[in-house]
Amino acid sequence: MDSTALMAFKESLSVMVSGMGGIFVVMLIIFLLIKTLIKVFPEK
Amino acid sequence: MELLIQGVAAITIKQVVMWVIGGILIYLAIAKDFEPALLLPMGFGAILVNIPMSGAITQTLNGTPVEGILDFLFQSGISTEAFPLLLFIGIGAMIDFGPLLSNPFMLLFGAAAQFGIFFTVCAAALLGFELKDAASIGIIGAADGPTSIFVANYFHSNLIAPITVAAYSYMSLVPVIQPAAIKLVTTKKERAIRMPYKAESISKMTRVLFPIMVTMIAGLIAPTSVALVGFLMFGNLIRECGVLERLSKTAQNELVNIITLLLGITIAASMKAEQFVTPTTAVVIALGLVAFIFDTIGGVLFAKFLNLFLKKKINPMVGAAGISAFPMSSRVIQKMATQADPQNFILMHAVGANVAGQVASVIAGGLIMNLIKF
Repeated sequence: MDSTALMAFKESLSVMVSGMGGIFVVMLIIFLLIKTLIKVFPEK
Repeated sequence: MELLIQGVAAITIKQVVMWVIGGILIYLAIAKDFEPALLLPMGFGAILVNIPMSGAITQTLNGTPVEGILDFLFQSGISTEAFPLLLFIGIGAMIDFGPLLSNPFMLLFGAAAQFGIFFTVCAAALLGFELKDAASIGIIGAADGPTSIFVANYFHSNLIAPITVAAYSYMSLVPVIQPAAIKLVTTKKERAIRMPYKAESISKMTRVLFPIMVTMIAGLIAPTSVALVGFLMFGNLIRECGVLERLSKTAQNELVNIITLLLGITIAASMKAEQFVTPTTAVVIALGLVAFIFDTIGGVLFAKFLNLFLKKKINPMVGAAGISAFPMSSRVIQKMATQADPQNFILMHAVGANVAGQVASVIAGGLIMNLIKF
C-alpha cells in the first residue's frame, strides 16, 4: 500500500469516528427534542 | 453512402457493453420490478448516450461544441443539486414520523445503521481512492438515492453514474441483502424476540415543530447539510401543517414523478462508455454492496450490544431496519420475525427505526460533507 493510500485510510478512520459520533450526538439531541415536545405538547 | 455507415463505423466495444448494461437495467426494471422509476430511464439513457456521435450529449461539430439535452439537464439539475433537493421535498411530504415520535428510542438504530457508510469510506480509502471519492462511494450506504447523488456531486465525483446505479440497485435488493446479512449475525432465538408495542398519540404541535427543530439542530451542527435536511423537513412540514393539502399532494405525486422522470435519464449523461466501462466501476459497485451489508450488520450488532444492558430485550433485527430503505426494510424485518415466530409482530418498531434511518442518512451525508475538505 503506498503512503498516499495509507494517509487517506488514516484520515478515513478519523472521519469514521467523528462521523458516527456526530450522528449519535445529533440523534440523541433529536431524542431529547421529541421527549420535550411530547411533554410540553401532549395529545389532548 | 459514407453518411449512412459513419455511425456504425464509429461503434466501439465499450459502447456495445453500455448498450448491454442499459438493456440489463431495463430488464431489471420491467421484469423484476427493481426500482423501475429510476433503472428504466437510466437504462434507456445509457443507450442514448452511447450511440456514436449521439445528439443527446454535447458534441463538437466543425470545432464548435453543440450542447446536448442530457448534458444541459445534468448541468441544470444535477450539478446544481436541484433535482435531488426537489425530490426530497416530495419524499419529506410522504414520510409519517408518527411511529418514530411514538418510539423515539428507535433513533439510535437509525444512527447505528449508518455504520456501513463510514466502513466503506475506510475500505475505499484502503483500496487507493482519494478521500473525496471514498466518501462519494461510502454514501451509497445511505440507501437513499437523492443523498447519494447530492454528496457525490458535492465532491465533484466522476463516479456519480456507478454510485447512482449501485444505490438504486441495492435499494431494490434489500429483500435479498438484508436477510442474508442478518442471519450471519443473529440466531433464530434472537430473531424471535418479541417486543410489545404501545401506540402513543402525538399532538399536531409536536408534528409541526419536529421538522423545524430538526432542521435547525442539524444545520447548526453540520451547516453543509441544511439544504438536504431542510428540503426533506420542508416537505414534511407541508404535510403536517394541515393547511396545505393541495401542495402536499402535489409534492408527493406530481413533483416526485416529474423529478424522477428527469433524474434517471439525466444521470445517464454520466454513463458514457469511456467513463463507465472501467475496473473502477466494478469496484464501486462491489463497495456499494459492502456498504449495505455493513449498514445491516452495524444496526444489528448495536442492538445486541444494548441487549447486554437491557432487561426488556430488543429484537436485534430492529437495528437492521435503521437503514434508510423505507418502507422495504421494515417489511423485510417483519417477515423475518414472523418466520422465526409466527406470533411475532415488530413491524411498528421496525417502521420507527426505518424512519429514523431516513433522518440519520441525511445527517450522515451532511456530516461527511462537513468532515472532508477537498
